[in-house]
Amino acid sequence: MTSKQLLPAGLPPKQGLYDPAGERDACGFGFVAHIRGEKSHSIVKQGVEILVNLTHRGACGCDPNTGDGAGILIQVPHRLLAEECLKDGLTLPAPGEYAVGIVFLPMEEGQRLEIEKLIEATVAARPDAFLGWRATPTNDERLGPDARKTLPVVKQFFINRGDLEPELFERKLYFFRRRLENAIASSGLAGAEHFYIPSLSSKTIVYKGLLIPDQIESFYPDLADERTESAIALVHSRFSTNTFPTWPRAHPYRYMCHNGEINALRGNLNWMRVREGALTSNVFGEDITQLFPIVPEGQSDSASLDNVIEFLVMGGRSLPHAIMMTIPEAWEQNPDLDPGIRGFYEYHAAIMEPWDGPAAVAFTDGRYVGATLDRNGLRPGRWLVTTDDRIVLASEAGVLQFDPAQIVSKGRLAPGKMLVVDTEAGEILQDSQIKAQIASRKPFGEWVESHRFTINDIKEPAAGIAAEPTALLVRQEAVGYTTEELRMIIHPMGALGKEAEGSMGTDTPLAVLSERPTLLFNYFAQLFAQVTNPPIDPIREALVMSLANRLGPRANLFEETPEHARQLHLERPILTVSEFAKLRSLSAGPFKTATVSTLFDVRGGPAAMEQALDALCEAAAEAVRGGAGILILSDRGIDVTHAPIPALLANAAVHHHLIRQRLRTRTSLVVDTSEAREVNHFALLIGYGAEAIHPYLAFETLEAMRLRGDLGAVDEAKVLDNYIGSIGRGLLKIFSKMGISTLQSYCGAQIFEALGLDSDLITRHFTGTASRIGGAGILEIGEETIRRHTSAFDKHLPAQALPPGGEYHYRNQGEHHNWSPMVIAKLQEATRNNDPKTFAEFTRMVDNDHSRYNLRGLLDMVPGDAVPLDEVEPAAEIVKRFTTGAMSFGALSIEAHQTLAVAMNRLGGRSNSGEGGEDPDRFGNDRNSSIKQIASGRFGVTTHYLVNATELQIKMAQGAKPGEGGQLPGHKVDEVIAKTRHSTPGVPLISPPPHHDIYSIEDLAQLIYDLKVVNPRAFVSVKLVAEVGVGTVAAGVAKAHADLIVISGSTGGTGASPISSIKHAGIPWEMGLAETQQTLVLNGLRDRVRVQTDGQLRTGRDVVFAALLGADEYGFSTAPLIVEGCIMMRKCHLNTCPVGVATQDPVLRAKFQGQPEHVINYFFFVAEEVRAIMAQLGFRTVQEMIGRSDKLKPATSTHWKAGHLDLMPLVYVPETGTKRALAYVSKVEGDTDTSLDHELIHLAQPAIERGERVRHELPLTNVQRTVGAMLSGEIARRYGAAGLPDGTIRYDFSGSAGQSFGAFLVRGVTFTLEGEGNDYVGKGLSGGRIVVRPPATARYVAEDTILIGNVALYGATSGEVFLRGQAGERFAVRNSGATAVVEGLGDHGCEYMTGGAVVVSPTSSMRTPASRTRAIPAWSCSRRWRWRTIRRC
Amino acid sequence: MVLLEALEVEDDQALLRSLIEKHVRHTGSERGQYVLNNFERLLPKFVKVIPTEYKKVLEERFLAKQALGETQLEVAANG
Repeated sequence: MTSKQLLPAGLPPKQGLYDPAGERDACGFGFVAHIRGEKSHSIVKQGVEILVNLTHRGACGCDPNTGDGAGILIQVPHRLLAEECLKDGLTLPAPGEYAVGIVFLPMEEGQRLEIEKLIEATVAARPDAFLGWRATPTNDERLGPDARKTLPVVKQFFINRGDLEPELFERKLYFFRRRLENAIASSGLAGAEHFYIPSLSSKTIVYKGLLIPDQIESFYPDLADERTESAIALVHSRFSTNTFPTWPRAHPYRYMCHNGEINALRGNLNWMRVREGALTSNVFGEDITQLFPIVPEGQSDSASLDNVIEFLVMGGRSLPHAIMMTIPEAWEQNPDLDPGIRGFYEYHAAIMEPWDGPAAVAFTDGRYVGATLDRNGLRPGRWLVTTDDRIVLASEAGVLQFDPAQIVSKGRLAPGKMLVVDTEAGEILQDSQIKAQIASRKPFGEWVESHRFTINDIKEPAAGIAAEPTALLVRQEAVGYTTEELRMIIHPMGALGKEAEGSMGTDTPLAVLSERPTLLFNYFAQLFAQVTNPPIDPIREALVMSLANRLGPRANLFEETPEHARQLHLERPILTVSEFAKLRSLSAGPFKTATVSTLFDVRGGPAAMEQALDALCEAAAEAVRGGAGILILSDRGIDVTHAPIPALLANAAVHHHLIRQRLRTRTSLVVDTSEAREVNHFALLIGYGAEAIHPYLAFETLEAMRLRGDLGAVDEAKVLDNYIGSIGRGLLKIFSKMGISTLQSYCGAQIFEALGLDSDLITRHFTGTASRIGGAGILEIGEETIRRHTSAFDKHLPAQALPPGGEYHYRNQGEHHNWSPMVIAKLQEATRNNDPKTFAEFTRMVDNDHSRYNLRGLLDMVPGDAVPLDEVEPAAEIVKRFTTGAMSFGALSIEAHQTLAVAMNRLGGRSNSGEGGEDPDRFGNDRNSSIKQIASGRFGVTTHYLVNATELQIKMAQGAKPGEGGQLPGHKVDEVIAKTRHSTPGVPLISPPPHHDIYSIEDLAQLIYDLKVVNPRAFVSVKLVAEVGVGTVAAGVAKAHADLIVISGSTGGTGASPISSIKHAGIPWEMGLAETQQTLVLNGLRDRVRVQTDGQLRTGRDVVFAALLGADEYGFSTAPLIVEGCIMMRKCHLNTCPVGVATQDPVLRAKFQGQPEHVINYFFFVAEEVRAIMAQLGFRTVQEMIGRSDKLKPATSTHWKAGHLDLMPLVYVPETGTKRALAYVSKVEGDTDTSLDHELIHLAQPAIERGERVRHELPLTNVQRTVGAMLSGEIARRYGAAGLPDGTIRYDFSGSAGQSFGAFLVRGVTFTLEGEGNDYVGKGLSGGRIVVRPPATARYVAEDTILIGNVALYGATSGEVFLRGQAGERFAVRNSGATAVVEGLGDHGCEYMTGGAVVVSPTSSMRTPASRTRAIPAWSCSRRWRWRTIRRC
Repeated sequence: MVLLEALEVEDDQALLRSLIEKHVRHTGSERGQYVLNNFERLLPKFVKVIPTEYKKVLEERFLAKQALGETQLEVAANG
């Protein structure tokens, strides 16, 4: 099944914990076209200009002259090619009668000739087809050394159309290219990794490469040639998360370029592969198999999407049709959608799941050119039309300069909407026009209606489901239920419909390190979005979310028949008993069900389970061949001799077996299970292909609890409702953490990492899942099942009650906890009495535990030549590398918070404000937190706050609940906290899941830039949580010019969070840190960025391990809290902390005992231990110890499960050929040198120095970003939060402002802008005034036209904004004090506001503020004179 | 999660008018001017959006203030 695919030259192979499959990219993109298709060189020239003006959205690595990639797609420039070829004696036929291919070839001549020969031979299958070659002129003078490393030879070749019809000709070219790609990939030819065909078409050509935008014209002189003419130019400037020189990965691809990321990629690729089994096509005929794989492995998400779109187009669909199929808008819950278009989407949902994720896609086939946004509108797209019939669309407004009088109209792409230009017909087709046109091709809606089939259409079967032979209690025990689980997890779901909450992270061992038998579910960690794509807000943006799924066989992708619509529709994936009974009764037709048993005979031991699994897969395949359109995997009939194969294993194994057998499209998987009960269980089953689940034992359990009266006064139906409802909401939360909106995309997407599972098991049954340190195999898993089973069916000890548990709270006899009461007591005693002896006892207890319960415990240090202790750097130096974690004032009491700050300031370490702002009283004295955090809620993030930091930390995720926002319950918000956070006492404070100004890596680069501009003296850090791929993200973050990267382990996290997030998201810091270190070293980026790690660090040994694995700095949270008095009651979220640490209750706060001295004692104890170990290892300074993972080696373990772990990848040191830094050396300077603010500050001197009034006029272009922030920082530094008197400084700008115009503007400064703004206008506004209006000469109607971009006023705390025109999506989100007037808004405006006022006039958009109330008629008619105030304070 | 209300309170109406006046002064908005010219007539068409939770807290605070007096409330919170 897996195709052989070469990695492109320049990309390193998989090694250590680094995997090239994790690479990500994003960008700026745009196009310019002549609407009536007039070709000219000026279009090409303008395309290049757009590209250059988007340079700041791309990136460079360590070599400033090597970009991440830039490219341009234009129509075939016939005049140039014909004249140039003629010089070489080659006469080209008329335009359209030949195709031109552009090809990258190896530099080495011998290798190149071999490949050229192969190309000619492949074409020559058709006589007279091959016309000849042209050496494409290139000029590599300005390229950087990295780009040269893999510089290809670029050539063009020409193929004669002959008498083929144009459409058929394009299809033949596609065949030819795919055949050639497959042939060269499997040829074993030297230099094959350099071969790549950017384009081969009679209509379009792509010029691209590993270039900086302004190199493209000099590298490809063709583009500067006046004879190069086109009516279309599509451009792309790339930002990739690595520095590896890969030429093919530049965009555009053959049909499109893409800004964003496909979150559900793994699932999409699997389902594409699956479809190959069912594909037939009249168009392609029998040759179709030559095209497989449709999407070769090892490509980027964008390239994969391009492959699919190309395939659909070649199969006969139009380009916009293919785009609508792959990136559908949110149609499910939009009642205003045209019925025809709805029918189209519903019909195609049965054929293709969405390629879900943030996306702005620009596409062209040489005739149509257009662009679309994903359903969430997470990327920007702005367009304008000129008087001379040109259309320009790009990530930013202002990429081309026009006289305002030349502009006819302007607009923005709205979420899920499309804009298409037909250059032949000479018209612009707006979203509804183009979609209606496509949707009316066939009566899709009627087909859907007449074939719709739901569970309610099935008759209730006469016979119910037989009761199970074994008692409930025994079966519960056999699948691992505990009384603790019933009380903590199941109870809130059944009684209240809520997921359980907890706090203080988790301190139990990984499943593979636990002494107990663990459910297979617990070996998997949920993945989540950070930096390169955003989590979604599943509640406030609920309109885009969907739990619907379909059962039944899926038909051929290429046909469009009414029968395609015949599927069984489910509104949610959890089936009730009666629904399941109905489903099971279907015995004929397309939905015929077959049941296969997942039980095995325990008497055969673990081996019997393995055999049973193989037999199960075979039986499943046989049933599908026999016509089962729905396949039920059932573990009914558990008894003394029969135990269930873990449901997840059975499900995943069958799913992958059916994929391999190409049978998967013919059936749907339904899991009838006694095991699944928690949200995470359902997520896993669905993630590995289950389309519906019937958790029958969970239902029985709930009913038993209800009958016992455990659930309060609720009836059976309500309990069921609560439970299924809470699962549904929990699932949506898990999807949204990964940025996925629909169950259909999540199904089979495998968005998990396995921790501690054997690689053979993974490869076979969980194909494509990351499992990087090996671990338990199928026999150990069988053993776990049998141990549980044996204990449950023990004849001598008949079960009276379930085992007590101990997973969530410490219990004698229960699961091990790192912070046991003994350990806590020792630590407190040692630090309070400043007693090294007691601390040594604490350390001994902890380090002994390590050897069993933490990954680092499975590593040994390699002793070196010891050095005398007095030669090791002093503890006073080492403690400067220590920080305390981000715990907000609000979560903690003021006493606990300030004690940490004072202690860290005295030590010379750094404490962290957390995300709740800080009382200005603390600025400038020893209670100030050096680290000021910027989280998604932006609470209290004022300019004054920002300039009072030495480190500004962007919190991308937090260990306890990555992908979710923090929250402070209303009862903890008292007067003082409300003031610090710019809110109102008693109102719960919720942070959005994403930073709304970070949906992509180039957005993060922008925020980092914003922060450096507002406070040039601080360094900027980015906090990430460990998961597979975090190293790649970290490399991207380093390229975005962060100065420090924090890698948090999943175990930490002191905040209140859903228990399922605490337990099941993220991985230990050891793995995240090691991957980050290896990836940064591979990329040559390690020397420019500091790395910090945290996650239950406790002793000197922990610090040494962190250093050896690559950390420069070390973060502590739980330990210092315990030193302050925390006794791990885990009640932080309840405000009842009995020791005054995590409460706002004045009575409880009076009990606070912590002293800065205790914290200082603790850190010195740790530092002294570090010194002692350093002396043994032979290190005199911490600096020389960092990254020396060669000083670690895997220990031998006799643990029955952990014995199979392989930790070598953890201690791997990348071989880079050259000597590269393993630790931080120095930061990149000069980021803000070109900021316009230097001039603004200079001009404002009279105001800043003497309070005089200052007024100036200045022009602006989109490359001038974050205008006003440094000026504001300067004023805040001098004048504090008060700023200057209103009207002191006024700048009147004209033109197109770059991103973050007026960000953090302070009181006393007024900006007016005549022109337009981009994204983030007035971000973090702190008292300033911003006025934007269109130019006086503009021809368009101001109030109907887009004026500024998305996410304006994000996190504003005070100030005023007046906008004569419309703003984009997510206006004034998290505003807590600014006022604004705006003449129209995009979607999701004003969410999470806790203060200020916004006055809006209506637009026709559907997801405008308070979308939940959209039924109010006053809102639905949009064009009338009607204003709307949104006033939340 | 949010309430839609008419702008009945005088404070609200005054705030609205002053914001639109400023808007017109700074931007020259024609639409804004139209609203000002017809303010009384258009007022019923304005909708105030306020989160349920927020409104509840405001009301509670209002009642608490009446019962306690502002100073006592602050003492209690800071104590």
